[in-house]
This record gives sequence, C-alpha cells and structure tokens, in this order.
Amino acid sequence: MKPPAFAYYRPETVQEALQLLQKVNDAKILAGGQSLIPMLNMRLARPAAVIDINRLRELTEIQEYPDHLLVGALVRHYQLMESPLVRRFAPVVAEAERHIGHAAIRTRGTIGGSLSHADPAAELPLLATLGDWELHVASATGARVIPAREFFLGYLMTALGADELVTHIRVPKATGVSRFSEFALRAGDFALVSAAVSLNLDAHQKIDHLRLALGGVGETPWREPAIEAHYRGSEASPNLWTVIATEVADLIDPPEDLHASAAYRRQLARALLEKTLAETAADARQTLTKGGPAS
Amino acid sequence: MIPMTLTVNGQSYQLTVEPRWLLADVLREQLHLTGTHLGCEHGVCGACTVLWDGRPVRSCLTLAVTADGANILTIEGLAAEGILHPVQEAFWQEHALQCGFCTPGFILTAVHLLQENPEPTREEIREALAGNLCRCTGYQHIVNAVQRAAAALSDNHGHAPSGQ
Amino acid sequence: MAASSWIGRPVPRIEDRPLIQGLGRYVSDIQLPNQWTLVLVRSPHAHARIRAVDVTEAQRLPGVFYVATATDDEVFRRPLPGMSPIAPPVLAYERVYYVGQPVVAILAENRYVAEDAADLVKVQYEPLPSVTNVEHALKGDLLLHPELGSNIVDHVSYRRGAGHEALNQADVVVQVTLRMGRVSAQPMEPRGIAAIYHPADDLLTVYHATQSVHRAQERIAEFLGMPTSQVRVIAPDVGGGFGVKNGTYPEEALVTYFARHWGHPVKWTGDRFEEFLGTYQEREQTHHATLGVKKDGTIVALVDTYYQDNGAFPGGGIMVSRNTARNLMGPYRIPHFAIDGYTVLTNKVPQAPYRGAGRPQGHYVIERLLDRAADTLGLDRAEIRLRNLVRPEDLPYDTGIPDLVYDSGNYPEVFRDLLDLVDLPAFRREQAEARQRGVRLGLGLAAYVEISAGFGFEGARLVLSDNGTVTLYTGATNQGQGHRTSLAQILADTLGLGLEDITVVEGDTAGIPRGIGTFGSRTMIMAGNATHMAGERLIEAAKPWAAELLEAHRDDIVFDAGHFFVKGVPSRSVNWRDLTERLKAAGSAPLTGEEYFSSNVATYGFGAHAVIVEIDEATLQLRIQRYLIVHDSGTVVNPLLTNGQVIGGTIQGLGSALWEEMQFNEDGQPLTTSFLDYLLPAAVESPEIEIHHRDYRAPGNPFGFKGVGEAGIIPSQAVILAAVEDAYRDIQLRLDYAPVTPKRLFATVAEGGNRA
Repeated sequence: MKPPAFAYYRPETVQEALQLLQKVNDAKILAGGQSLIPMLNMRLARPAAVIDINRLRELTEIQEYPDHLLVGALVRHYQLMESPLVRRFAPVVAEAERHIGHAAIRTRGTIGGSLSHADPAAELPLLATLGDWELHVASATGARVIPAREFFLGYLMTALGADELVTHIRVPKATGVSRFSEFALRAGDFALVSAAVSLNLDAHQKIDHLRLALGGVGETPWREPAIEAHYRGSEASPNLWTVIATEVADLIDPPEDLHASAAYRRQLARALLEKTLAETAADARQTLTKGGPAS
Repeated sequence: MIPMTLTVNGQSYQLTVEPRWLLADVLREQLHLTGTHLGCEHGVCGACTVLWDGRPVRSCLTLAVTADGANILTIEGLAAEGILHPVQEAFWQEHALQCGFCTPGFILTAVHLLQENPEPTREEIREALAGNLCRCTGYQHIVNAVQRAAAALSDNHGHAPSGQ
Repeated sequence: MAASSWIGRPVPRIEDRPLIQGLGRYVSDIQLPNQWTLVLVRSPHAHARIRAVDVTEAQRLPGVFYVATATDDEVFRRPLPGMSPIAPPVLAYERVYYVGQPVVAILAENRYVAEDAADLVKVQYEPLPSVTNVEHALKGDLLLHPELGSNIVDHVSYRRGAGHEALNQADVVVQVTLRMGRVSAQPMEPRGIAAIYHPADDLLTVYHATQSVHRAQERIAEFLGMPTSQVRVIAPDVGGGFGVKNGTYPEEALVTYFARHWGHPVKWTGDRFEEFLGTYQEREQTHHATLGVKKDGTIVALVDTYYQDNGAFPGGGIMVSRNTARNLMGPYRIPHFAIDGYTVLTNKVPQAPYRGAGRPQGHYVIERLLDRAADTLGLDRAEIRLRNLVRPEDLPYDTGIPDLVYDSGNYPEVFRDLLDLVDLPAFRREQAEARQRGVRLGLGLAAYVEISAGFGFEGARLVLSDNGTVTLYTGATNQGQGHRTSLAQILADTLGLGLEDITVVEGDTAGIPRGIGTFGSRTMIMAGNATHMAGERLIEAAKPWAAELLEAHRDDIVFDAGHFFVKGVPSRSVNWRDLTERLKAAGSAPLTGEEYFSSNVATYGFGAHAVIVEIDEATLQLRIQRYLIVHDSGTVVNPLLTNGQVIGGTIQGLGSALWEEMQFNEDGQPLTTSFLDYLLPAAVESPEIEIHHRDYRAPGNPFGFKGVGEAGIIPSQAVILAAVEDAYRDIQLRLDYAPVTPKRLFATVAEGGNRA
C-alpha cells in the first residue's frame, strides 16, 4: 500500500496553481490529503501529477462580512471547530466538526477538500446543502460562484472542471437555529445517515423558517425545498416532527451497502430527522424566550 | 527527488525525498525512527500518529514533501533525557500496552488530548482515542493510564515535559 | 529473608520501557544491510486457471532484482510444509483457489518499486466456477481438489450414552440452525519475516513475527533441506498474534528461500490488505443442533451436526473443527450426545486457529440452545443453567469426550455470584422503565470452561551469569502477553532473587534447543512450571558449591529465599553472588539448569459473563451498559496481566459479536478488506469490564496455573446475542447468526423477530 509515482508540483500562489491546473494533464489537487492519500496508497487513484496547494496562504483565512463568512478552501477542520467566528455565526458547523474523523484527521483535512471530494456521507457537503453555501471557484481563465446545491452532482462527483479550484466558501450567517446529528457504527466513522435541520419559530410557535437536509441517503446530500415550504406556518409540535420525518423518509431512495440496507437507512433517516427537528425546535423556543432571533 | 527540511524531535534534517514517499516511511527508513508504526496505511488505525506543531497527524496520510519545514514530534522524542513523559509513565504503571505496536500512536494522541483538555472524563478520553485501534488491551487500561497521566500532570503544575 | 512472594503481585511489566519510547524492535523495524523487499502478486479470483504469466515489464523496471513465478523453478511448486492432507504450492501453479493466493513474487529495492512492478505483472486467468459456501461444497458437483475425492477433509465424531436415541426421553426438544460469520484476527502488526544468510557458516538467521520459533525452524529447515542446527529463528517484538502467526505460510518459504538462494537479506512486511487477503481466518461454521430437556430444564441429550467452511486448504482449520466438538459441553452435565463435525473446503482463504479456536464455537451452540430451551419451557434463562451446571460433587467430572475431565472449582456458586452482582430483580424493573423511554435493555448470561494446554511440553534453560544474575531461555514466545515479567516473577520466587536479577529471553532457537511456542493459553502452565523446575535444578547444581563455601556436606545444605545455609544454621549463608564469585575463581563453567515440563493434563478455568445492552428502538444503536465477569484463573502470577488478558479477549469477542465479519460475494470476492469495512471495536464502543476473580488452583500441574487468554472471548458471541434477544422479548426475537450487526438486527426485527 504505497502511492504510485507522480509528478509533483507545489505552487506558492493561487495564480500559479491555476496555471498548473490548466497546463498539467491528469492532475489531482492535494489539500489535506485525508481522502486522496488513502486512495493513492491503495492505488485506487493513479494521477499523473499531484498539485500540492498547501502553500497557498491566500486560502487559509476565515473572514467576516455583514451577512456571511468567507472561508478559505485550505481552512482545516480543527480551525473550523475552534474558530470563534464559526462558533458564533455557523455554530452547527462547529458541532458537526466533532464527528469528522478524529483529531488527527481534523488537523490536516480542509473544508475545500471535503467539499470537492463530495462524499455523500460526509458532514460538510450536508451542511453546505442545508446552509446554501456558495463555492467560489477559479481557473486560469476566470472565476465563478457555484451554489452548493448545484455543486454536488453524484457520488464523488462535482461541477468542478478539471482546471478549476475551489478557493473560498461563502457561508451565510445562520438565519435560524440549526442542529446536526448522525448515526455511525463507530464514533468517527462515516455516518450511515446524517441529518441537519435549520428552523425558526415565530411568536405563536409557528414555523417561519425551515430547512431539512440528509446525508448518506443518496449520491448527493438530500434536500427538498418544496417540503420545507409546505410546512412553513405549521404549528410546532412533536406530532409535526413525526409527520415531517415520515414524509421525508418515504420520499428518499437510500442506497444499500455492506453496513445498511435501504430500509434500515430509511428508518435511520426518519429517526434522526425526527430527533433533530425536536432538538432544533427546543433550541428555537429557547431563542424565542431569550427574545430575538439567532444571530 | 525533492530537497526538504524536516525538524524531528528538535533536530533539523536536510533530506532528499521522492514526492510519493509517505512521512511515515521517511521517518522510519531515512531517519531510522522506527517507533512510528504503520498499521493500516489508510488512516484508520492511528499507529502512525505523530505530532506536527503539537497536533496529531497520520504520518501514513501525509506525503513527506508536504511536511517540508514542519516541526515533528515522534514517540522517540517524548521522553526528555531519559525521563519518561507522564503519559509514558502512566502507560507503564497501568499496563496500558501488551504487544506495544499501537502504543506510540496512543501515547502521542493522549499527549495532545491532555494539552487541550487537562482533566478529561473517561468518556472524553475514549472519544479522543477513538481514532486509534488496539487489538490487545480492550482499551480499559489505556483509559486508566490517561486518567493517571492527567492527575500526574496537574500535580506537576505543568512542569512536566510538554511534548513539544 | 522472608521476602513476600512475587507470584500474585501486580508488577508493571519489565518489557514496557523500550516499547513506550518507540524503541521496540518489530520485524518491520529491522533493516538488514542492503535488504531486498519481497512483494507478492495475489490472485484476484476465487477460482481460476492460470493461462499465462508475463513478467517481462516488471522484470525490466529499475530497482527490481528478481520476479519469480511457479513455472520458474520446482521449488516454488513445492507444497507448503506442515499442512495435510493437501497443501498449496508456495506460488500458485496452474490454478488459484482463493482470492489472495500468492501467484508471483517480486524482489525489489523497496516496497514502492516492488508495488510498481506488481502493477506491471500480467496474469491471464480463466475464471472457473467457485464454491463459496458449505451447502454448495457438500453437493460435490465441484471438487476443489479432485485427488481428495471429496470437499470434506475431516470428520470428527463423538457419542455418549444413547446419543441421538436419547432425545426420545426428553419432554421438550429444541432444534436450531446456528451460524457464525467468518472473522479475521487482525493483530495491529501485520505478519512479517526477514532473513539473512551467512554463507561462510551455512547459517540462516530468520527474524520472524511468529508464535513458535521452533516450529518455524523445523518448517524452514524441512523446506530448504537444511539441518535445523543451521537455521536460527528469532521472534523479536511481535505485535499481537492471536493464533494467526502460528501457521505455515508461503511468505515464510519464499523469504527464507530467496535469502539463501541469492545470498542477500530479504524482508517481507505484509500490509493491511494482505492481512485480510492472505492471513488465515476463523469462526465460520454452521451448526444443526438439537437439545432435549426434561420439563424442569435438565438436559437429556445434545445432538449437533456442523460444517466448518474452511476455505481452500485444510491447515490448522481441522484442529479448530475438532476443538469445537470438545467445547460443545460447556460447563454442563450432558448425559447423552451425538456430535459430528465436518471440515469442508471452499474457495476462500483458509481457516486456522484464531483466539478461542473452537472454544467460542462450542460454547455459542450450547449456550444458545439453553436459552432456546428455557424460553420454550417458560423457565428463566439463569435457572436452566443452574440446573445443569456441573456441581462440585460431580468433580472430577468426565465430560464423555476423551481426556476431558473437569477437575476444579464450583461452577454453580460462581454463576450465583454473577447473578447477585447483576441483581436480577432490579434489572427487570429498570428494563421495564427504560422501555417507556423507547430504550430497550437486555440481559445476556453465559457460562464457560476454558480448556487449556493438555499436550506437549515447554522448556526453560537457566544460566547463572558472572554477575550473579540469571538468564532464562524458553521456547515460549511473546506477542504481548508479558512473559518477561510473569516468568521472571516465578523464577524470582524459586531462586529468591529480585526481578532486576532475572533476564527472560524468549523466541530464539539459539537460546534453547527445543520448544513449542505460545498459543492456546499454554505458556504459564507449560513454561511457568518448567521455569520453576529449572530453578530447582539450578539450586541443586549450586549446592555442592555452597557446601564447599560453607565447609559442610552437600546433603546438609538447604536453600531458602536466595540463601544457602547448613540445616539449622541460617545465620551463616551464601547467596547467588557469592557462588558466582567462587565459580569464577575456580574457573568453572557457569551453573545452568534446564528442565522441560511435559503434561497431557489440560487445565480447566471457568467462569460466567453477564452483559446488559441498551438498544435505541429507533436507530438500533446498541450500547453496552454493563459487562460483568466472574472468572477462575487458577493461580494468578500477575493480576495486572491477567486482567489485561481477560479484558482484551472480551473486547475482541465483542467485535465478533457486534461488528466484525469477513463478507464475500457469491463469486468468493472478499468485500471487507480494509479497516473501513471490517470494523474492529474502538475505544468509544468498548465497555468497561468489571472482573471478579476466583482462584481454584489447577490440580493437574504443580503451580495450579490455568489458561487465561481465551476466557474473555469464549462466551462473548453467545452472551451478546442472548442480551439482544432479551431486549426484544416482547416480539420473541430469535437470533441465530453472529455477529448481530445493526443491519442484521434491523432485518430480523423487521421480519417480526423470528428469522436472522
């Protein structure tokens, strides 16, 4: 289990990296390496070249703007978990980070790497989908912004072109209370199913903002705005969480693998969603009584 | 082949490495620091854990060239002048190792945990060690050892060797 | 002088200081000068004809020294030594029989280059139909090895009393098909071996991650046609064994052959893939079992016919199947039985002993049958056990299996102690309350006998050094058990020395001429007693010298706690250091003592486990709330180490009860070949184990030692399945497959609980 040979490039600037991406054929970008290097070691990936972007200091910061955070693609998991900005404006990210692998994985793994890898069971693609994050993508010929829901195309597949690099991620400041939960066979493993909810209640305990997302139930993170819209204005109650969770569980078409059947995943999705809705609503109520929306 | 600098256990090395070589292999085969073990080479077992600027990393999931300029602590650098680090001492006293193959990774992970959280509960210890596999001990004595080390470190008011 | 005994003290281990500083020396850490790295190309097919092998490109790659295939030389077509009635060739020839079987051997300057070369090897296979389960294998339409005439390579059979006929005397008969999935030992250090040949002396030195240096020495010598005296095998630090580092493997033949043939050091370090593909596995059996009981729960008869899916070659698997039969009685009185076990070949990697080696299988069957019988009778699962456990008045109790006579302890008392610790009434109340919260609690109970040793010998050779310390050489080997400490504790007591005065050297054929090795929890029993006997011999050898120093007659010299003195005059004595000085002055050879302890009497530890599981009704998340063990370890040398063995074994057992299973598709492709899919228990999932010791000395050996390495793993699958069933008593859940993964539990519950 040793990597095959490859040409190695280590650009110092984003511009240099983008030129290499344009010029070099069959190149893989190396960020934290926590997904790429196992694939190299197992020789499941055999790129002709590896472009190591760990020197791109431009991509290592978290900046605050009035309504969002702009997170550099090279920000590491542990930094997301510890960042006061993230804890304040996107607390669900810090919460979910605890579940991403283990400390050693979080030391190296990056937000850009995790999103670009697009594992449907991973935490950050789920939160990106829930939170309507936007991916700032650049190539030697230009730049574009891709909304998260258009970014994930399939299992380990994204809208990213071969010459493109995710440079920053626009994370809107939370407008509702968000919670995350997942079921993994062992602590730190990839989740069989994960669920994330964002929710606000008005003064009459009615839902005025609702987002639901599931991971591990398809080739990309699952979200269905029509359902969210349908329940806007409904009165919060345990019964409602059951109704929503059941409806969603019936809609999804989860995969079967070594560790879970489709039916089991469906049950997990229902259970996690119901639980996460209830927890989020409880938080939202607390926010209400404290007066004022979540910041 | 790429020239690089690596500081390991306080000593600086000028190396020339092939880009595909894993940090673990460079430590083991070029620097002859064989205490860093390769247990799975896919990032699950944690036997190859080293500290990079004080934080744990999988040296099997790190290309050595990426660590150019980094400050690495391996198990060999933990005891200061023959005096065991309190985590090492506690692993010994509590019989927290049997075959010893996974032990370096556990010890370094525990050193990092105790820097972040000097008084962890048993549950927190287990959570922090969840990325390291041991096939011999069943973990219980390892948890005992980390608790013991935490107590020893707090008695020493942090004067013990810190690991970096 | 009256130093308290070392035996029984929880002494931290002597061997730990280097290991905690990264100074251990495992095979992979050993770098021989200019060593060549061996890498193998393994079969991707479960069964195929090899049409052609093209190694031209691989051979041409810079850094590659040699590429070998079975057609190159007769030596590669030789059968592996020590495997009968049929053994694979060292490299597959004409046919491959399982995914992972070595086909091509590559020697290169390092593993990176060797793997590049492996990628360039082109093997043309013609896939053949494969046999991937015993049901198919038994049909006989496809024989793996036609020369054997059958896919069944072993049949073990035991009868007692009226056997099957006795079922007629039963009030209730329960019948069940019980399955155990395949598991893989997965020591943290994969297998590995390195060898260097010294032509001037025609001496081959082998560094081997093995559990038995002497058996390895014999195999290597036989394979290479060398006298054993010219093969030295050293087991350096070994990173866990659990049985799978004890067999005959192709890598051993290849590394040693190449080292001698090319006169160049050669090393093979298996990686984790290879540990899944090429290392022997265990546990896979299907039992068709029947238990007849009286209305009061008393066992009348056990009938069991079982099949072991042994993979493509027999090897150590036959022993596992036979040992399963010897464990079907558990700690219970079974007046009639009829047992038939078959070892069946399939296109999978072979099975061979893994920790437990038949003990967990046998106990799984009897324990599950007792649960089923209790449920059918409406009897408490604890009660049925109390009514059938072997009683103190039955001892010595002849099980009806040849040479198995339970000899010590009090099984019912230990089981009752366990029930008291659990507090059954309190548990039942808690169970009902939890149910209101959507949490299911379940209690599992199981009892066991741990049969250890009972064959062969082990030796100890002592040498009194010039500084008055003693070195102990033994054929036992270390994979983490801590013998350097425990054997030193025994010897310290015998010789009246401190631990610092004793050095234990294990795992080196140069240290002692004969040995068997460490497996089956035999080392304390065999090497432990041998160590004491060798100590006694050393004392006897020292007495004439002591007599000379004390100017007395040899027969008047007594030895006590490190001191020799004339009977009745303890005030004037000499010690080991005085003797060494005298020996040195006299120019005499150092004193030595060598003894071999040989015994056909097994030891019978016993005990019982109780587990309380907590299952989230919605997610089926299972947490172990409490795990209790009452265990008889016989005479305990070092309680720290004993606890380590019991806890470690238990957690391994939990792995095979809850998560671990080697899964194969219908073509025989293994699907679980990494730690991402084959899930070992980690720290969060592993419960705290609460151990209560009993110490009924074994009457069958001088020190009363018993085995302790298997105690944790024997009942774990039985006890977990029982607990999960108990959590779903309301739907009468029936589990007959281990492990009970969440996926499997979900399916069983969804189907109404009656199928697994």
